[in-house]
Amino acid sequence: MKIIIEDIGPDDEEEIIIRCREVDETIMRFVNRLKIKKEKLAVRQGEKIMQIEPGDVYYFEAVDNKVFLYLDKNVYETRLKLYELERRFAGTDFFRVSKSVILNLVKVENFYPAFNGRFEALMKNGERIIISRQYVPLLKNKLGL
Amino acid sequence: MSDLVDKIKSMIKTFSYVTTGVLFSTALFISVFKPQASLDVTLLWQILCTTLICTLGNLLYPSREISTKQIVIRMFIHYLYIHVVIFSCAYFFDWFELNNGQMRVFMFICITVVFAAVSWFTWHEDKKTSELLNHSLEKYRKRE
Repeated sequence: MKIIIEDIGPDDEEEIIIRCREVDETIMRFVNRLKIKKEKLAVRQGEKIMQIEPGDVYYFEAVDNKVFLYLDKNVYETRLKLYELERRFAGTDFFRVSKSVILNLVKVENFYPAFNGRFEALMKNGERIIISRQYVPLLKNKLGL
Repeated sequence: MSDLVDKIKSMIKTFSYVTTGVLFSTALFISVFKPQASLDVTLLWQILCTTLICTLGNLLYPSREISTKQIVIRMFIHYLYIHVVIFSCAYFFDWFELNNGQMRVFMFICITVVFAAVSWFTWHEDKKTSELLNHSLEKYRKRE
């Protein structure tokens, strides 16, 4: 596969063109990865508004009509709804595991069984997230099982 | 639709576990309390019928999301439900004398052991699934 990188002027818009015979899983993953790297999320912590990289997010959680982002140690709020985040990060490492949580699979340390067909995801920061029974088949599918 | 299929699959699995447990308990019960008894084929139908009613207890766990506390409460209700079913069937099918304390205690122990065994098997299945998920997660990470 040939990789061509061209220098462009400071005012030109950066672009990536992929020329391929068919859009397979590898290419889709590459595109989604780029999407995560390039996008920033506007978040709030108290009065402060800042931008963070989606790849740093461990999980999104909806609580009482508010959506929070959980990073390694910090928690931020976003104005986006959970379904909007789900759409925005469709096909990436983000995956909906219950009615109120979307988690970043890359930040999962391990899965454990919980009660009654549910599972628990142990995150790399030690937090535990419940995976609802109805999302387990989708998770299996996502992980290629 | 897939929810219904999942529910039916889980009920069939529970039915087979419970049937095994009930057959084992029945064999033990008869060996201890009625070793000379000659058994009728209707007993097998009675066992299957009782097991089927016990399996309906799975409907206590809804498809929608519920909290861990709710699940524990429902498991306890399920456990009580099985006691009610077994003792009612024992009364209607005339399996044992309900005023016999020893028989009641024996049946209570059997129900508890079968309930614990079925719960353990179900958990064990989930454990196997979680191992598969972890293995796939490892592969997923390597593809990154």
